[in-house]
Amino acid sequence: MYKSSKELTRRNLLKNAAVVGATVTLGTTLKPVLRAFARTGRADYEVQGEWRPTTCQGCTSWCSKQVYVVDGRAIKVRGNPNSKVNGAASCPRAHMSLQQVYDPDRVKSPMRRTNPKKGRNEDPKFVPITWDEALNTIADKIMELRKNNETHKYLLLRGRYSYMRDIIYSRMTKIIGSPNNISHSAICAEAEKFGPYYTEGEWTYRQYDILNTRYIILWGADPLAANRQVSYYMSRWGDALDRAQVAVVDPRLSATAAKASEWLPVKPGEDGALACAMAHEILVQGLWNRDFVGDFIDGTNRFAAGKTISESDFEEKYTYGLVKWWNIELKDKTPEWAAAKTGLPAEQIRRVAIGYGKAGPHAISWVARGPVMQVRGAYASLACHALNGLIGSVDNVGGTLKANKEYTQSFPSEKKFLDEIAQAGIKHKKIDHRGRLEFPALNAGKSGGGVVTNNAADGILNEDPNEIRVAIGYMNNFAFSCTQSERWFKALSKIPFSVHITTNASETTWFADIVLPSNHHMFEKWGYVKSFANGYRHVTMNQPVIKPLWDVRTDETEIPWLIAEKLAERGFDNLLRHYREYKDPETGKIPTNEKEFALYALKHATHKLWDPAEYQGGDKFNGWEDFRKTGVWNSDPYPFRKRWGSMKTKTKQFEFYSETLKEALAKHAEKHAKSIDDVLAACNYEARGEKAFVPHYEEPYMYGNKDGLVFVDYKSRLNREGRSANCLWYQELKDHDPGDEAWDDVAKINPVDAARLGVKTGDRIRLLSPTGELECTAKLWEGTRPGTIAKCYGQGHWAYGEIAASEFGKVPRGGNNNDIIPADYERLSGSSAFFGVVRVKIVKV
Amino acid sequence: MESKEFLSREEHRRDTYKLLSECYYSPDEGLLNTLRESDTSRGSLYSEISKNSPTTNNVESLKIDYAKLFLGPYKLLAPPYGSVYLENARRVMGDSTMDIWYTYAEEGLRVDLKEAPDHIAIELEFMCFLISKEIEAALNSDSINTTRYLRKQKDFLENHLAIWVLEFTDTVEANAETEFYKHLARLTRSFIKKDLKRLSES
Amino acid sequence: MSKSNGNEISRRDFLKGGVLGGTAGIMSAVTGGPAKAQSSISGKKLAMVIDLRRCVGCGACMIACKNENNVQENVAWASRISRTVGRFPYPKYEYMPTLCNHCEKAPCVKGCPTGAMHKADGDITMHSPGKCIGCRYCITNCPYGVIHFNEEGKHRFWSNDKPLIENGTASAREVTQKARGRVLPYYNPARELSNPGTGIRRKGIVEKCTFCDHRLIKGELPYCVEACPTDARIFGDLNDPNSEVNQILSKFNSRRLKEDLGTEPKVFYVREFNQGSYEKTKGMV
Repeated sequence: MYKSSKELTRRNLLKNAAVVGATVTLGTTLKPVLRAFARTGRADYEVQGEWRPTTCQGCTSWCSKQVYVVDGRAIKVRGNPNSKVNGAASCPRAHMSLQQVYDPDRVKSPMRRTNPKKGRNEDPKFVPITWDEALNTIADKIMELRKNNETHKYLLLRGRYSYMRDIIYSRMTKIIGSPNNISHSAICAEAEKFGPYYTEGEWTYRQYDILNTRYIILWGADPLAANRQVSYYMSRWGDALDRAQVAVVDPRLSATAAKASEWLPVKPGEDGALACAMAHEILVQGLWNRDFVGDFIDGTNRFAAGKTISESDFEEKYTYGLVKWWNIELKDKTPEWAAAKTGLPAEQIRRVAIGYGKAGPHAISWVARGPVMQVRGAYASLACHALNGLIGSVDNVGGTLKANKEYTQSFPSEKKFLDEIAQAGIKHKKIDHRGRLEFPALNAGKSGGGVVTNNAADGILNEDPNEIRVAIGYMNNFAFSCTQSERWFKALSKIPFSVHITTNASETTWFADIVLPSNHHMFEKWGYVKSFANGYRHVTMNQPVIKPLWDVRTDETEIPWLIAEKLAERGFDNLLRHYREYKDPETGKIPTNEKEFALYALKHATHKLWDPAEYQGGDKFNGWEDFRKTGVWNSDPYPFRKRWGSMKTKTKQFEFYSETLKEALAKHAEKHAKSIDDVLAACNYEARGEKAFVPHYEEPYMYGNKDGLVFVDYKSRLNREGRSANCLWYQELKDHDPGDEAWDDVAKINPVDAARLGVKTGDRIRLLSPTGELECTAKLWEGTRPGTIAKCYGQGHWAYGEIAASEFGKVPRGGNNNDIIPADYERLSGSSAFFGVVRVKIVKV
Repeated sequence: MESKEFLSREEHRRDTYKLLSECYYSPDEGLLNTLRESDTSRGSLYSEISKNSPTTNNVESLKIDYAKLFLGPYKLLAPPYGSVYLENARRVMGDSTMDIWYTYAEEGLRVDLKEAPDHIAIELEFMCFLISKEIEAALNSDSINTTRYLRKQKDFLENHLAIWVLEFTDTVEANAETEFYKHLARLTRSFIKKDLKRLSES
Repeated sequence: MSKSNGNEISRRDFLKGGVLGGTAGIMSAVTGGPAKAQSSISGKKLAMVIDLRRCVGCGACMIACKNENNVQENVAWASRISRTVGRFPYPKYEYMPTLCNHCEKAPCVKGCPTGAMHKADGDITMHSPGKCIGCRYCITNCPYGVIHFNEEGKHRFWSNDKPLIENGTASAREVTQKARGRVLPYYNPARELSNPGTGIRRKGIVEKCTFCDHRLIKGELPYCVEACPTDARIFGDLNDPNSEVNQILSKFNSRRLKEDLGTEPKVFYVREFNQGSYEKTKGMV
């Protein structure tokens, strides 16, 4: 021990001895001299904490949450009871955010690559650097592009965003002078929006009124596990089951299927056949909704298999093109025909169609990624969603609804800050080829209206239309999350200078020159997102609820500001001057630093929600602080049936024959001086002529050998967008995805197929596809359709962290599904194809 | 109003812990003087140590023994750290140590020495501290906090000090060369055993 | 526990100064109120009903319990039994949440030599870490496998001190220390409120579900009940005829795990996990 006891006298030691025996005075405090301790001056260590509002972005349910904070530490998570969308309910994945924010593998400080070589097997050999050094380097690189009039060679890759996104994604990219802002949307579920847009004019996801419905058909949707609004649907599903029959269409027994009345284990890629046959049956049985669709003028049902109908015999009310659809496509699509295609018994098809039809209009046809993010998935999207139109559940009680109105506003325009260089730069064509003949990406009716995320890799590799010299990616991981991911290894290696803004050193980070540590969107960031369910929309704020442990900054606001400052130092101050327009609505103050900027931007965007003077609707607040403390704004209740007769389609009606799609295709064809049939051919669709404008059956287009097993990808109820594989709780509870195993990554095979292949549970196997391979464990499981092999997405990281990877930088834990899925597209929406696209060969390792 | 007897007893406990704690620092003249000057009427603890202390001139032998047992530089014969006896691996700063850090922090204390927080002297002084807080509360007629601090003392002994002090003091007794440290070990052991028993009887 | 030898001070000597004089316990010397607060759950017979129809098998209860009680990796106080039975195309995925049943006739209590495992207020089966000697008789006696023995040091993961990227990322230990957590960065200090030493249970003793007694004394529900997003777990007092648990039990057939063993478990399961309706039929020969 290092302190001498010289000062230790009897008096010191027995300081209070004199008091003993004498009369004790009340209130005397007797503090012994402490030798080993110093007093920290804090009272009893806090056990009491408080619930602070924020938002979870573990999936795109985007629940409003509260985090319990004790002594500056985040301890627990629960749903924000102030939200009318999710209330206090919280799905399991939210809790893992605690293991994310405190993940030891988070990047603590900016880092610089010291290994000049880039590649899958090239350890970047990162060293820590200061923010100043990092930002200076980035600014220099951008200025270099400006100097050489090459600003179009700047690329922004967007991943996990909030609605602060336009600050970095749109404004910064444009002011620098590039057209190349590439979002992740095409690897999300854009094809799902195709059906709703080209029938009812809404390029959007939907909410479903499950509490008032009597039948739900789910097409690959698994709301008890994955998108959207998992917390809400989980919390009410028990009640919904009291009133509704549930039929799940999915090649694997999902969580929702496990609790359903009917499981339709459809052959992958054949959902369109099933939907068309159901439509056929509903019409033949006379179960369409008269109030919404209309009827035969004389009331006699003429729909019969094989019969062509005269359009003039039917008077439609709020729909358009029903008879056209029947004549062009539906008349031969009987349940018996569909049985052969789908592998489902005809009587089940019939039974579900009739049950659904009879329950209408309080019935839901719930479309998700599975049937539509396929090479020929757009028309399946139309067919599955059109079923809602047939029974009148669109915008109806117990049916399919869009999002309620909300009143956030966009950021100040960048237009007057675009100098000549920028104006010239943004005119270049985008790196992802959207709008080309073979990539119509007809989002919301516009040619090239949507991103073709995965194709950006090819654009970069082929320098088509130009090379990319400087790239910034934020909270994305395309080297893991895009199909045929090794193309991104090459593309990222090719870019001479790239920056990755990220919480963890992921696969994409591996190729970066500079790493900027991002804060965690749930605990350390100002922002907002929107979500809807339960007949409401909410706008919920991301709020900093703890002080970050590390030297992190906000991806979408603070970092762009800091870069803007550096650019201004170098004589280019357009970006900074633009950001200075984001004034605090309360005080009118101009932001002077990145922290003020982040906050003012949020206050600006949400101004009409919290300022009583700007009130538009929904929840009313006293002011900013009132809103901030509550954490969430709720819309007015859903206005049922308001859109009947005034839909945003060409005919204003719900289109079974889509004039809207016809127009969009025509415009796209015209742009390329081609015919619509040429467009369809370029997009690998079989349909020609009139079929192109109605929901119809397309043969699935798959890679791989005919006797391979069709690969079925799906999401875990524990996925936090592919990031949670680094969380202990994910691994410990992985068996909560039906058929899966804890601490393992299994591919599930039906025992019949397994017997044929000589594979048993526990065998290490390799899945081989024409474009790649992966290794995992085999699991025999009766919940898998024969002829398919089902494996969950999310594992197979070879970077990201210590748990996610088996050996960081080298060996993956499990296998990444994207290693075996070829990079192909549903081109009408620009979406990447994830399902019904590849057959794999199984070999034992 | 607390009884004088009660207060006197508690103060004595507090001071005993403090004294024992001091005895586990590197010995020097100051310590020995204190021990010899201790009011023997206050308790035989002091007189026992005092009686068995070597002659004044023999600080050196104490220092040597102390070093062999607790300090090094060679392998410690009786490492004075709780984690050593509570873990399989003889690893300092194991989980139980981090636990202790938190326990101290809860009381607004931070270890101010270059030592692992589960050093015997520190744990003993912590008991002294807890008792002093108890006395403070008692003098303020704050029965809730008096009870609370008594409970904390019991828990601290049960979850930390008392668990390992037996094996530790046995080891000291077996390996000490001087009578001083042998006695110190015995006294430490019996005092803590009895203190815990007394606390548990409530 | 060393034996006394001639050199040891005699008890009388030691007590000469009246350090711990008298037979009265220290705590009872304190005036102004009893040493133990009257618990608000005494006299209750606390139980849980699990509605399998509402349960979707999400596991939020498992994680929430680990969170609330600072349970280490690969141990779960709240767990589940799940399996897939039947054959394609009619397989059945079954799921059943499990936890300590707080049996009225708890075999773990009967077999505990030190009384560490005991029945407490509210008819909860409680464990006192201070008295546990780690003999594991309770584990042998419990037919449900819900008691865990801390073989390894606790929370190995969080004591790791090697970062993934030197100076680039943190280590688990660094995170905990920087966040000022106890062993875990998200350590829940409230766990300790009812029974110190239970914040994180030390190595060499057992641990298990306590119906979140530290929450009960504040009038809060066990955390698994609170955290369940589907409200599939309902908690209450069997001695209260009006309680929700009794109301539900009056409406449905309930079952308990291994009822035939006579442990009188207090976790009841109602309704079915797998919902079904089917078309009217008489079947066939």
